[in-house]
Formats: sequence, structure tokens, C-alpha cells
Amino acid sequence: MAPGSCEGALMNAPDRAAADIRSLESVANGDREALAFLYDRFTPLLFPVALRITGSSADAEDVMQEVWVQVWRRASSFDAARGSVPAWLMTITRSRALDHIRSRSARTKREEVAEPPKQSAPDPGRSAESESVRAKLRAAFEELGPERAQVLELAYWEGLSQSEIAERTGSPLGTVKSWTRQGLERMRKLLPDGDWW
Amino acid sequence: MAKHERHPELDLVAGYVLQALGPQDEARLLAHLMEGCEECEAALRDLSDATVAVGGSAPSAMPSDALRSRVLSDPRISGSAGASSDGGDGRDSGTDADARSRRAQERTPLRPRDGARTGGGRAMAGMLAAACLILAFGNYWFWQKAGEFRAERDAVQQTLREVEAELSAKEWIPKMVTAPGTDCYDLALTGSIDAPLNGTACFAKESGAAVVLLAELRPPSGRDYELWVLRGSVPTSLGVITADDEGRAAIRLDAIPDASAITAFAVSLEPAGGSPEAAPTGPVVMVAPVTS
Ligand SMILES: [Zn+2]
Repeated sequence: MAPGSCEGALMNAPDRAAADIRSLESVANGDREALAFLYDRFTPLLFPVALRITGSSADAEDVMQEVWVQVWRRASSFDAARGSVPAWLMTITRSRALDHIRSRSARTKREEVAEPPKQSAPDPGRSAESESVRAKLRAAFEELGPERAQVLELAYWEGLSQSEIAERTGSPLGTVKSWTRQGLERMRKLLPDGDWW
Repeated sequence: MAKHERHPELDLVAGYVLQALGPQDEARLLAHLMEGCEECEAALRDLSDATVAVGGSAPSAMPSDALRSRVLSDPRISGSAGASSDGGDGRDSGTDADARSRRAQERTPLRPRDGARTGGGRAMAGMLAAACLILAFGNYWFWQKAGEFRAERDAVQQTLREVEAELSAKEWIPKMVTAPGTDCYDLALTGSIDAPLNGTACFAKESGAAVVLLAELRPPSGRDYELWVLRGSVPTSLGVITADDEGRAAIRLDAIPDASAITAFAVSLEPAGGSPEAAPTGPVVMVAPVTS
């Protein structure tokens, strides 16, 4: 069973993380309520990633549908020893979104979206908190310096491999590898505990 | 941070969490993790969280309210078990399959290991019951999708091409049970030993059916190669591999349990008879990551 929302509101970060794992276990056992719970809980975190990569809210919604189908089917492959539930879900979202633009790129070019298309209104209190963390993360990204930011940008948002990045930027592969690591390590330090999204 | 410097694999962890590694690097890292490195495992968790910080820099946005019911009413998300699409043991039925199974077991180069593994014992038993092995190159499968097979084949290494040529020359009639969604993955050398091994693992994630082809398999005396699957950080042995005189082996697994959770196939070099533990004790020599 998915933890109820009242219980959720009272939990601290480690409890929440444990509850997320239990929800995923329930999903693996075929509990659709647990899937709905995870959908509600993580959509504000995941949808922006799908939207940023695909550049279209219709495409991002298609991506999210594939993401949740994959979560439903592959929940048993989640390995808590390798990372958190949000990290796992975000990795799936990013992969499906990158797959989506790869399959689309033959037909249409990606359109940059200056502002996200119409969406349902988020909870104003939450979204203010979320937006402030997001702004901080964006600022931190810029502060990585142009090289590390570019390497992370190409790897994370465009899905380039490290050797493709080396080729694109003209930097040695070894340098690309260490910039990636340094960039990620710095970003990690700025990630707040708990549900900031 | 400095303590990590003795692990050149640490830089690979960053690329791994971004899915940006080349196959060689990915194999090297997975082998390193499989051999056990707590620092790199910790880094994996940490850097995996770091990707949330990168993804979290995207501007907030929410989908339309309609998406929720669209997702939850998706026919692929049915009321039955989440793993339903991977349900069943994936074994085909019918006399052909039975005959194939018998024939395979008569000369199985994949030896069940002595003693049940703790924990995975039941899974192992199921797996070994489902597993049957075709002695190298007496038999070989073509995937029904000939076009796909050719594309995959071009990507694998020279020895495997020779095998196909040899079989064509023998006019051996291909006969293969094909599961939809079969993909082939190169077993990349990890560089942990100096041997020209090569191989490929073809795997249907939904059914758990797999064929692993290996060549140049010549273990030093007193040692054996052992085949593994990884589910995240957890290895499970598929048994010791016995090659033919030419150093080749073709291993067929009809239904690997919990197939959707498999993240890689791997080969390690172990003491004769296989690893005495639930994980590889010798160097992991080849890895084929299974992408989702
Ligand atoms: Zn290490």
C-alpha cells in the first residue's frame, strides 16, 4: 500500500526515502495505488526534465506515459544500493526523453521553448520553494565554469557520450571524464535534503 | 576526494550515472564494481543523486491534469502484478522445445555448480532447470528476424562471423525460438586479464530467454570461466562455462528468472568448479551491460 498523504506530510527525509522504496516494492507486486502515489509525488520533479529535453509539453506527456509504464514493469530492478528512488526515476525519465528526441529528430528539429506551454497550476507554496531551489541549482550550474558546465550540459541534456563530447569540444577524453565528475560532485553538494520539488 | 585517486574507475562512475560511457569503459567499471569496491559504490550513490541536482535545474512545470488518468488507465498498466509482462517461466512448450532441451542437456557444457547458493538457491535451481546448453557450434541459432541478426552480427567480432560462415557451409538449418524484443550486447573485455576472449549476449528482457556466445575461451589450468548476470549490484551465477576444443561455447538460457531486473551479463575467471562464493572471486574478464 502507498503511504497516505497525512503520513507523508509528517515524515522526515530518511522515512520518506524508505517509504518511496516500499512504494516501489508495492508497484513491483502489482499495486496500482502505489503507482498513483508515486505519480503524484514525483511528477513535479520528473515532468520538468521531460519538458526541458523534448521542448514540447505534448511530447513530454508522451514521455511521462512511457516512463510510468516502465516503472510499472521494471520496479523490481530498482536497487537501493545504487541510488535513491528520485534518482532512479529521473534517470528513466531522462533516458526515455532522450530516446524520444532521437526518434523524432529524423522528422522534426527540436524547437527551443522560451517558456513552458500551458500546464495545470502547481501548489503556489510548494512551487515557490521549488523554484528557489531550481534557481539555486541553475546558478550553481553556471558557476561550474564554462567547460564543466558545457560537458555536463552535453552529457545530461543532450545525451552525448563522453567520446562524442570530447570530439565536439576538442577536449581530451580524460579531461572530459574528470570535468564530468567534478561538475557532478559540485552539483551534489547543493542538493537539499528532503522534498524540495 | 583524494582517497578516490587510486581508483581510476571513479571518473567512470560519473560517466556511468549519465549513461555517457563507451562500452569498454562501462565494462571496466561494472567489472570493478562486481569485484567489490565500496568507495566506488558509495560514489555511485552520491553521483546518482547528483544527477537529480542537474535535472532539478530545469524550470518547474506540470503536465495537464488529464495525463494522470491517461497514465493510470494505460492498458500496459493492468490490475495484475507489475511484473506480469515478465510472468511465466518463459519456456516454450511443445515437442520441438522438449527435444531441443533433451538434446542440449545430453551434452551440457554448462555445469551446475556444487552446493546450493545461499539466498539465491531457489532462483538458481529454477534457472538451471530452465537452462540448457548447446555444445558449441554443433548448433547455433539464427534469430527469426534475419535482418536484425545481420545488423547485430556485423557489430560482433571476427570469430563470430567465422562461426556463421562455418555453419552456412554445413547448411545447418537454423531453428530458434524467438522472443520479441531480443537485443544483442557485445561482451566487452575489461582488460583484467590478457586474453583475446570475445563474445556476445543476446537477450529478450521480457521473457528472460538468452543466448550467450563465447570464443577464445581457454582458461589457465586449474581455473574455469563462470557466467553471471547482474541485477544492479547483485551478481547471480549462471554456472561454469565449458568450452569446446576450439575454445568456443554457446549457452542457451530459456528463462532467466527476474529478467527485467538484469543489468548486465558478465564472465569471471574462477578456481576450477566456479566461485566458492555468491559473487565472483576472480577477475571479471568480460561484461555486457544490458540497456533498458
Ligand atoms: Zn573503486
